[in-house]
Amino acid sequence: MGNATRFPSLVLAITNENSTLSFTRSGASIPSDKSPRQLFEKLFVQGKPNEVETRVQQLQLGQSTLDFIMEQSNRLNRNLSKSDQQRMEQYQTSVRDLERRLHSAQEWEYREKLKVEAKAPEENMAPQQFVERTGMMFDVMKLALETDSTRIISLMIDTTVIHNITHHGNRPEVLSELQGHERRQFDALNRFLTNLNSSIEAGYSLLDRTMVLYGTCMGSANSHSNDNLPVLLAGGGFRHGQHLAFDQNNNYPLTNLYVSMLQRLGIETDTFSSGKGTLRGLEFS
Amino acid sequence: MVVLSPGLTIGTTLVGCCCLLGQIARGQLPERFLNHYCYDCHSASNIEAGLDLQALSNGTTLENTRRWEQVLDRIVAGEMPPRDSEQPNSQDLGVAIQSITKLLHDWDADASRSTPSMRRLIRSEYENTIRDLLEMPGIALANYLPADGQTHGFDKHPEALDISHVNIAKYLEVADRILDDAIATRPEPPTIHHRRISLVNRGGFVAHIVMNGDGVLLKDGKLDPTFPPASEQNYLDQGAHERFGSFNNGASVGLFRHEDESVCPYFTEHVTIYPARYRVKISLWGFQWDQGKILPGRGNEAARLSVVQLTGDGRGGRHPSYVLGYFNAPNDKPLEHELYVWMNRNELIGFNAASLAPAANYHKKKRAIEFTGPGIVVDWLDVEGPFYETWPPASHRAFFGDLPIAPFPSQEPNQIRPPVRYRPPQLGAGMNRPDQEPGLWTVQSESPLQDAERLLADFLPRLFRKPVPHNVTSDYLGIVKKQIESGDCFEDAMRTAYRSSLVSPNFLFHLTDYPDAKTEFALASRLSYFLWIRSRTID
Repeated sequence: MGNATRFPSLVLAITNENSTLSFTRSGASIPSDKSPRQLFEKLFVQGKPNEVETRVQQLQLGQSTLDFIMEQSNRLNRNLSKSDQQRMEQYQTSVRDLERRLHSAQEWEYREKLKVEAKAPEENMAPQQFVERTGMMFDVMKLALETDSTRIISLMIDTTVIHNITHHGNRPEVLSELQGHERRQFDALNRFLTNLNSSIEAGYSLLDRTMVLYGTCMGSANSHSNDNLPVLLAGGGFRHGQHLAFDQNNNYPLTNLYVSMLQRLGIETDTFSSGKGTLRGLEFS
Repeated sequence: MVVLSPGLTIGTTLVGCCCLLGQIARGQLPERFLNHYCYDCHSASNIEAGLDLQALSNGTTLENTRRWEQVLDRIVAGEMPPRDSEQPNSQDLGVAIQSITKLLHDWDADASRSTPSMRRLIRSEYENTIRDLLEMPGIALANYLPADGQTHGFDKHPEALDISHVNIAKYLEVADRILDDAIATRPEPPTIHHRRISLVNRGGFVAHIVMNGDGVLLKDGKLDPTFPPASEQNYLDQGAHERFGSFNNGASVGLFRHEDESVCPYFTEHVTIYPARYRVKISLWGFQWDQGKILPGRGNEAARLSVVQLTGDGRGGRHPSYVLGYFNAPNDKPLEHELYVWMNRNELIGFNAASLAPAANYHKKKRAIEFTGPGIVVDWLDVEGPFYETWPPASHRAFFGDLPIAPFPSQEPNQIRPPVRYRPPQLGAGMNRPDQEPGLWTVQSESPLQDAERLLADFLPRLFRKPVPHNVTSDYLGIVKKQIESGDCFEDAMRTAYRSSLVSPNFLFHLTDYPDAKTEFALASRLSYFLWIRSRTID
């Protein structure tokens, strides 16, 4: 899906470390953009002409390398058996595919970036203000979706600054402090979803055309359990307003939800990792 | 099935060899039989069911073989010739079946002898080939390439080794990684440093768990008097201990805790900057801890050392790593181990108290003071390096021979572009620092095209693992020429040609069907990759 937009995907994180939610197929982590301001600039501020030229030169060098190896493979092809020629054809197709991608990347470099009315966010803030920072990131993410600069975004929200109070030991004063932080996190999410909902695209709200999955890697942070994860799905034209609960001792795989989401995205697949089907009870509105 | 598969492969190879030894009488088509019973309906003059047996009678393509298999099956089953036409007697039938069977066997033997399929190198072959070629015995490349597939339980089967634009993009990336690491950019090798490292570091994670009772600090085999073992209260926090120098006063570290999902001890003070060999030395021993007392241990303990690749992500461990070995930590008296290891940029040494059972005092009330169990002591770890056998290193000479390295002239009359250098980010919290940059140094050539031709003619056959025709070398020379004309310096122009060679099918594939497939090179290369997963042929 990546090719349709300037950025195939955005990998974002609110963190002071190098956390990320996105990994390559072989398991290598994809570095994240951590600054809402820099993300804004990447999305909407035109690069200086010489920066653009340097990037284009690199892309062109890549293309001429591909042209060259294509000629080399043609030269080889003459001496190959039929079955090996078929294999070489696969190599050549791959080279041509990559060439097309480089070419489209080059076109994006020259294309004017979209102008938006919003200003780049100011972000001089202490790590404790991670909720405010998250809110800023949400704002830029909404702009990215609205301008169709990308269609896939992952955002890692690192809550290390409140880590110690997540081990609350059920002490009331700690619980209420934690609740305060979590309430503000959900206020920020609420604003994000509301903003998506009020942005109209092709007769639908942007929220109806966007799936937003929000969750955490702990079922209970207090006991450090990774089971029974609470997960919230908004938008995407699903029938919402319900809580799907499953057997807590023998739970339904979360990956089934990912299969549902991939299918909703128009990707023909019926498996994702351990998920071998779609999520029960999740229907379109 | 699994047990049989390797045997089958070897069997096939042997059959191929036997056929090379002597000519065996070949099978023939039963012309008389075909003429009498088949051609009436299945020949050029009358092609029923699209089957022209005369057209199939010559050539041994896979398609023809498959058709004759069908023909044989139909004859054996009595379906052909059809019921309503003349039927052959059993003797004629037997002869026909025998001859076609024999012919199919011959064709099959021909096929297995002359046309092994080409396939691309698997990741480990790619990595080994570069390691050997550039004499960089530990350069890590496989992990940066997409994982290979498998079919019939084999990862080297041509059908498993598909290729897509993702592979090509990664091959390009890895080619740059190789060139960045291989090419020397300074007149002298980087300074050799010798650093003695404790397993606890300032601000480090091991200090944190030791503070919480998963280990203790020792001096001269006794408890370090300045660092009481963790009990119910921490009288000083980690910051205070750091200010007092508790973690860099030469104390030994005794660990009770085996590696687990939350604990992966690293020697964080050295994070490699220059890919090269390093001398790593460690002093280890084992003991028994009994609620505050140090007693003789139960016997030899064992510690694991590994090389860990920092990747930009992964606090608390879980980085890619490979094991260097398991080392004896004898009871009650230190033993030193010395290793000579290749380390890449952003790699460090990881540690595990391997022979200990899982134990964690971290959450217990009185932590180390109420714990009884075995421990492993790390007195220190020495890291010394980087070491190179020559300067410039062999990897550089593979690309640039003995051409001199000199400062890049700042004032060039011809507006030559300076070499583009990529500095990858330094990860982790190493205390080692890079040498000061000596300025912009690069390979100098008085007669670039002549040098380029000589270097390419030397390098390409070794990369491609076979003799390279002159016209192919000229193609690569063409790149150099074009780049130099466009204003590239010699190093960058050569780099562009080398990058292309590293993604060309000549390198990425075992081209067993090349005209020289039956030469000694091809056979040696195939055997070499079969036996060692690497190339041992050209030298």
